[in-house]
Amino acid sequence: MTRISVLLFVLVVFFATAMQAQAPAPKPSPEAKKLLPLVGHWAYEEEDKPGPLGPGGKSSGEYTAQMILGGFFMQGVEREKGAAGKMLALGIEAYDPSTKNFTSNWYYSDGTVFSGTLTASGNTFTWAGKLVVAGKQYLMKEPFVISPDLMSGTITEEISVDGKTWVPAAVVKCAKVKPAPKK
Amino acid sequence: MQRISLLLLVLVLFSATAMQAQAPAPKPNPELKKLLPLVGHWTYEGEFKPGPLGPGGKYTGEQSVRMILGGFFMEGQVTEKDASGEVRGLFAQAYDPVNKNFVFNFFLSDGTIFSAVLNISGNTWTWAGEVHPAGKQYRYRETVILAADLTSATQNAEISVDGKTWTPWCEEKWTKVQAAPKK
Repeated sequence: MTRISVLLFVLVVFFATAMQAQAPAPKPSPEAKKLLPLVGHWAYEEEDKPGPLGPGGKSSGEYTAQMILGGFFMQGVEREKGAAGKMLALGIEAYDPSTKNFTSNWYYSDGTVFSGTLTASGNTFTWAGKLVVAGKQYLMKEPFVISPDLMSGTITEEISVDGKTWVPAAVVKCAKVKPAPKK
Repeated sequence: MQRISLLLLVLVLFSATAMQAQAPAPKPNPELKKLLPLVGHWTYEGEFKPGPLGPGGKYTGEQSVRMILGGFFMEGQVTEKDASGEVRGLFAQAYDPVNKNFVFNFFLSDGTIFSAVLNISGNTWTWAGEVHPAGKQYRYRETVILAADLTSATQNAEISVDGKTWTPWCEEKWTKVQAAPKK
């Protein structure tokens, strides 16, 4: 009887340890799925408006978005060509269950940094936050309205120095040229 | 005379356009050089202390750190293993010329998000900010002290629920196994 008890105790301890070691990996919040319409490879044509950020002009680029790190986050990479040359950018969109919103951080190869939030409402994705360009800080809001077939969209970017007066900064026409890979 | 004036006008316009197109690329803030001691490939051994985030335990990890996007930002890729498995991570550090500090964002494959400010004083690096694991919010502060030869470091971190009472979180020992590539 004692032997059976010891054996049972060892088995219980073994399974408890094994279960702890194999605890199911945390899963992304269902909210993270709201980002999926952005995933894929996009081409875009951008028209910058004259304003605090410069004289304006046209540029074109590509934007590739994919879910990373187990599907918890979305990484975006932008490659752009314009009159001022080439620009590369890296962004991370993250759903934070503790604040129940998406945070957005973008880093550009001219040193520009964007940090703010991303709101997903239906097919409209709106970035809003701080944009630091060449040592100066602006506020930026940028709704991206995607068409019902999720294959094209338009971004209208506005910036503000004081958060009260907003001026158009850019209009970007986007077309998805490669959808997200099927799993 | 009119022809010469016209020629001069054309030359001036051409030069102005060419200068605008070839405007010197922005350069990273000199403050970013303070990040360079972290660039390279590091391994580390650590121990979580029992506390609000779990029962504690030992872990090992490695991180590859490099400057990206023209040297304006630092990117790190982290892989860490403990008894419960492996977690991967991606971090970015940016210099904020407006607030004159470094901004740190770190994303882990279990969904955890870190956002903090980094201060560097000599060989002592101190991050202070928030960590959001599994839908919860904590304050954290972390100090890394690099050895004089910059090839090893010790780390310790504390965590707080309310920002007043702090408890030990983890301790690590870092070893640089591969220096930053020479340019």
